[in-house]
Amino acid sequence: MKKRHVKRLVLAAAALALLGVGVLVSGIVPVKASGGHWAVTRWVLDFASDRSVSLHSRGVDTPPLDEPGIVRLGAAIYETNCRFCHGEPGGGRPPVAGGMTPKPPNLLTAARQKEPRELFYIVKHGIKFAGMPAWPTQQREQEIWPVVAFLQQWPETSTAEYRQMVHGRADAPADVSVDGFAATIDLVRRRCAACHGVDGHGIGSPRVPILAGQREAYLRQALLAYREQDRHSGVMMPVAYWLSDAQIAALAAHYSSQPPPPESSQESLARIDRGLQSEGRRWAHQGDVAAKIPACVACHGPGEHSDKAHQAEPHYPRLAGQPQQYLQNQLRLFAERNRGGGPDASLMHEVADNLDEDHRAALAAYYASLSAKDEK
Amino acid sequence: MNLNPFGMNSLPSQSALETAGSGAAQIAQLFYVMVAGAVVIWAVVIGLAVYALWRPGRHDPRSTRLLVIGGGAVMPTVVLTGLLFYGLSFLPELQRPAPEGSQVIDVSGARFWWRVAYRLPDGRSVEAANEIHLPAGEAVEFKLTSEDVIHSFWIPSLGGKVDMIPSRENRLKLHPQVPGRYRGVCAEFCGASHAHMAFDVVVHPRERFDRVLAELAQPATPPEDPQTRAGQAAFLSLGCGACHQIRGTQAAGRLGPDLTHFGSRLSIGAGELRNTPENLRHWITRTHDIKPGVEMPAFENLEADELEALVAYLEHLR
Repeated sequence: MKKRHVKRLVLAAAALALLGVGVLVSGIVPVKASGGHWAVTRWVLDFASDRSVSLHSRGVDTPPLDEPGIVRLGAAIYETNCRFCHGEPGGGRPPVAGGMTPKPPNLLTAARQKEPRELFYIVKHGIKFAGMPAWPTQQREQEIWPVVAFLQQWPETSTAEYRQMVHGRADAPADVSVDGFAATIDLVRRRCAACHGVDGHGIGSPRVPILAGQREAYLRQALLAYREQDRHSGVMMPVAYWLSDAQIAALAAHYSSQPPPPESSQESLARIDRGLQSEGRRWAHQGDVAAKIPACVACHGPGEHSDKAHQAEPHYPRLAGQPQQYLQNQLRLFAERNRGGGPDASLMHEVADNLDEDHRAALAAYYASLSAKDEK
Repeated sequence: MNLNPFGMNSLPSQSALETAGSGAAQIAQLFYVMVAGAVVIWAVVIGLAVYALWRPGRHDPRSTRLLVIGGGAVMPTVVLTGLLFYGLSFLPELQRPAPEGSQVIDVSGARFWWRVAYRLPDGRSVEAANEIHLPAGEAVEFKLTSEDVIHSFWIPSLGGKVDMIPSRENRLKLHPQVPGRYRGVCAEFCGASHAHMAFDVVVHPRERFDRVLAELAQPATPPEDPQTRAGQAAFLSLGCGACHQIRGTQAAGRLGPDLTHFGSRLSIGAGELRNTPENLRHWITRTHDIKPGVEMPAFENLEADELEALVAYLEHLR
């Protein structure tokens, strides 16, 4: 009696498996996106995805998202990486993305319902089978937070305000020296200005480097490294990917020839701790033999230019006047081996390994307090 | 790449039994006395064991007890006490500081190289690295310390070893007798490249030592031709001066070895490679393949002509 049951069950399972293989091989199930999901499929997938994001994003620490310029920077990053599918605030869904299954969700709802940690998790890791890609690199998660900050502002942002944030710096400065080709300026406006400004002075975010007056060879190597994905950034890699050698050369020439920002417009100097600054000055100029820290100035100035015959290598960046947060973060990324970079970047690894958080803060404070003008 | 720094025929001595200094000679003598004594004791013990196995009949219990107590307790005490006093009798001479007016040399260990400074009578000191020159027939006083972890300073052919301990100064007197080349090593495990942390020792007759020291005290030879000039410019622009000192130029770094007279040194990378232009090119571009864990970054992407000029400049610093 029992044996007969088992036999029947095995037979039934085998028949089902055969049917399944038949369905797969015949190709009878449509994979087309045009039909959408059944409502029940849709509900199950959404529910499972929400639960997964909610569970796995536990343990993500949300940093304060109120630093200057963070929303605007987030908007600029959104413009490059996200707008194509998700559209603009206050606008509808772009037509190509509208053909997806599932369709990219309405961010108004997402921004209202999701915790910042959940938004961070989705942007960083993407969602399988939903067309939502992971961030272009898993090594730079700090650059995702501006996007989260922007998404939180989404419900209060109008289309016009968004466009002002993203394109505002593209038109503003009339005094930019337009000695380059019009095509270069156009490229700068479209691909760079939202974060770096046409004049390379940035948009007031301490996360973004000042490009004006930076050394041309360094800028060129940085863009090449981003294009080859040797320098890691989910923001810069997608931009650099589409640049030709000639465009990279033109952009490097453009930004290196811009005058650095006047001191008043630099990150408010008063905010930089005086004690940190002088500690940083000592380490930068003298190094520290006991801690095995070489003097930064030997490669990065200031003062390396004092003897005209002995300029530092043109691929070594100048650091004077860069935002403190940007510099400190770069040093941290070097130590974590998460920065990558051009052919010379590995020179920084041994150096960065010997710096602790105090050194990084002090050195960044010192270089941020310098005026890029003294350097030229 | 020639990994053997000195051809087979001119391998510098690194043996405590091939002595060239009075400290090492005394230690070797103690060793030979101990070996001879050990051979005698071993022969007696084995002889007794053989006798005990082969002698027919019962052993006499009285003489057995005498042998166990005499041979097992009394004899070792007498022999070891004798050895102890014999060994201790060397100590006063080994420990006595070098007489007033002897050459004093400061050596500090750092992962994985040696900072060397010769004290001059006028109070100045001459810095060098990874190579120590000594006068023959005179006592020399070493002041030893470390810049990071515990290292140990040992020139087996010249004398005993002494630990180098951070923020503490140990001393050691050596009395080299025979001019020649010797090899010193780090004798305390200190990290990934501990086995690659060696140095060259050259013992000269006194008048030659004076000449060498006078040369070491000079600032670097300025570049003379376009290539060495380009090499000096590359050295400075690449930032080498952040870690290395070349006296007489802007390069004043204190993190790595002083390179003022680099071209005159026997080896590169603290006893690692023979000092040839080819090995130097390898060292600069593939530092970490040669010596894992070293602080110097590898300059992998130098332009060929820049590297050539740099090598020419450094080799010219004699």
